[in-house]
Amino acid sequence: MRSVTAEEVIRDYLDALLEGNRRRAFAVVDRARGEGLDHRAIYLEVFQPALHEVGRLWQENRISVADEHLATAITQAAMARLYDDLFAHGAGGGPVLVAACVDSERHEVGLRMICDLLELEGWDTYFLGATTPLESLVSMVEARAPQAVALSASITPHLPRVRVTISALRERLGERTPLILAGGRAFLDDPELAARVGADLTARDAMEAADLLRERFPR
Amino acid sequence: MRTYAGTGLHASLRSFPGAVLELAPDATVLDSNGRLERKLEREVVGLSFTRVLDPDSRAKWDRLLALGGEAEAQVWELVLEGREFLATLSFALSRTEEDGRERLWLVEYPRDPRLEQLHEELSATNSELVNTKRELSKEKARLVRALEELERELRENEHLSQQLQQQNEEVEAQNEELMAMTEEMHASQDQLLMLNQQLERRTRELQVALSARNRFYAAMSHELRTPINAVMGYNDLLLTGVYGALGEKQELAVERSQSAARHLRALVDDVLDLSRIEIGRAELETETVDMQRLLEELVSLLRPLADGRGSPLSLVVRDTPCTVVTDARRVRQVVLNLLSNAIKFGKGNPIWVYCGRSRDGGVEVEVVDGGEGISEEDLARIFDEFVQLGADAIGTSSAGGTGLGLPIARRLAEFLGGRLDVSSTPGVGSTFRLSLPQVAPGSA
Repeated sequence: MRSVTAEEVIRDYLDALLEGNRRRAFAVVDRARGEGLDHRAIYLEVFQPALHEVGRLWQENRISVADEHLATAITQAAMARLYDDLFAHGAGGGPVLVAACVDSERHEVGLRMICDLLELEGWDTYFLGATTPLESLVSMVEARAPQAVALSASITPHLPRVRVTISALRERLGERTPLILAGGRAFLDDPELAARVGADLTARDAMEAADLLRERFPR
Repeated sequence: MRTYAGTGLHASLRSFPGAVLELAPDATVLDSNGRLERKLEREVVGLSFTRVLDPDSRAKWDRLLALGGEAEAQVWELVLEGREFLATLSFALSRTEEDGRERLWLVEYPRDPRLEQLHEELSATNSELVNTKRELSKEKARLVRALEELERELRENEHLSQQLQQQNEEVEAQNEELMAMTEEMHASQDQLLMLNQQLERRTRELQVALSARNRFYAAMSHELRTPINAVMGYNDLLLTGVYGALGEKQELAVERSQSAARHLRALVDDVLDLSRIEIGRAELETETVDMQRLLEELVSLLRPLADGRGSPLSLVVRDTPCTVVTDARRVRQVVLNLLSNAIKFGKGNPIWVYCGRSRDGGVEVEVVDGGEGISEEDLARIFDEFVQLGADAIGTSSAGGTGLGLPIARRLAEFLGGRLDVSSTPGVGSTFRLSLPQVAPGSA
């Protein structure tokens, strides 16, 4: 079906990101869609590796943080352009996920990807975005009674906030506390960190998170 | 710049608006102008600089060190982790060596804080926009699904409505059919009513005609009896010689005349009897009748006649006593007629009379002869008036008789509340069965 490889798309897309050219980036995505790449492939085989590459380039001091932020913003906009399609395909009515970045955490793309991938599989996801205040998160979880909560922290200073958030959820909801998934860059160095802050599960990336949740809540 | 090495930071660097750090080659912070501490809200001097770097920046730091002198030509962005927040700071790197001691100098490359803020705000706005777009799309999808559901329900409703309409039409069709059938029924009913009226009219006409006929018969019979009696009276007078002695031929002629007159009178009597029964003028005189006695009397009365024809006459009474409440005179009349016929048509074969109780408590009398029998065609009409078997016309009977005997017998049987039936096998004989009820109708 595909007449274009993901590698070719990544290269084109990355070029567009480094140029800061959102129009071009959108065009690359549109073309890839036209060539038969589905949402899941675009997320996992284009957006995710492209952003990893952007991070690597920053590490090599070849681009600035401003470039990286621009690339992220363009990618978020590219994702937003797929939403009409993505949600139209989701059957809805499946398990519910509430996802949030704790407090002042700004790195939200990974979590957004998990939500969108699960939407594709019929989940109903509520993405509360970056810097979600603790109290509104707990209220939301109480109101929506989701099957799972996903929390993200990308830097170690935010880990204590993850712990505080999880214990607030458990304290408020008791037996009714949903499955809690914690992830993000800050958890990558130590596989046991997630358990130590009180989470039930952790994942290394969007795909693993989606796989784990699919296993726990088969449709 | 190199002159201040080892002597602590130069005073002018202490007031530099950005962070200035002096590091050992192993990245231990030897000195700081205090700006970084304020930003990160933590101590840095005496600690490894890498401890305040985020993991990505630690990797970047290693890369930076590996580059050697080349690194000094670039500006390095590093992400530093404070107590509550991240700070991305740009540094210029330089190296010094004095007395064999290598030092690394990091001097912050100040950026316009307003730009930083603008950048932060823009990215927050972007994130919010994307999120709004996400929620809108989800809502849109929900609406689309709701709309589809609505449309599906609408279609289903339409389908149901169509089904209903179809059923309605079917019911209407059935209704129309029913109406048609009702109309047909009405028509048939009208026709039936009309036929009924015609029938009633015919019946009335027939009754009128019958009653006229019977009245005519009665009147005529009476009017006929008088002159016949006169003829017979004068015949008797002639025969007794009141008008002088008759010659042999004359006497034979008068006897023939007398015989014909007797026949005529019997005929008139029968007609009279029949009309009386038919117009209901006959009356029943009922009493308890011992059938055995009645039949014994009749049998002994007719035995000489039967013997004369060579037919032995036997009576068998199966049940005793065998009594019914009825009109004995009429019963005698019927049985007499049956016995006369049996003797007349019995061809000299034995005649049996059986009597017994019937299942309904009445009595059955059977007269069985061994005569020629009656064909099926004739069986249907022997009870009609003026029918004589083997006769071409009235009066030319081979056996003699009026042709009214059996019709009268059957009417009498019915008059007594019973019936008279016949069964016959040609060449074997006939059986006439008189059935009488236990009590004749109209009995007290």
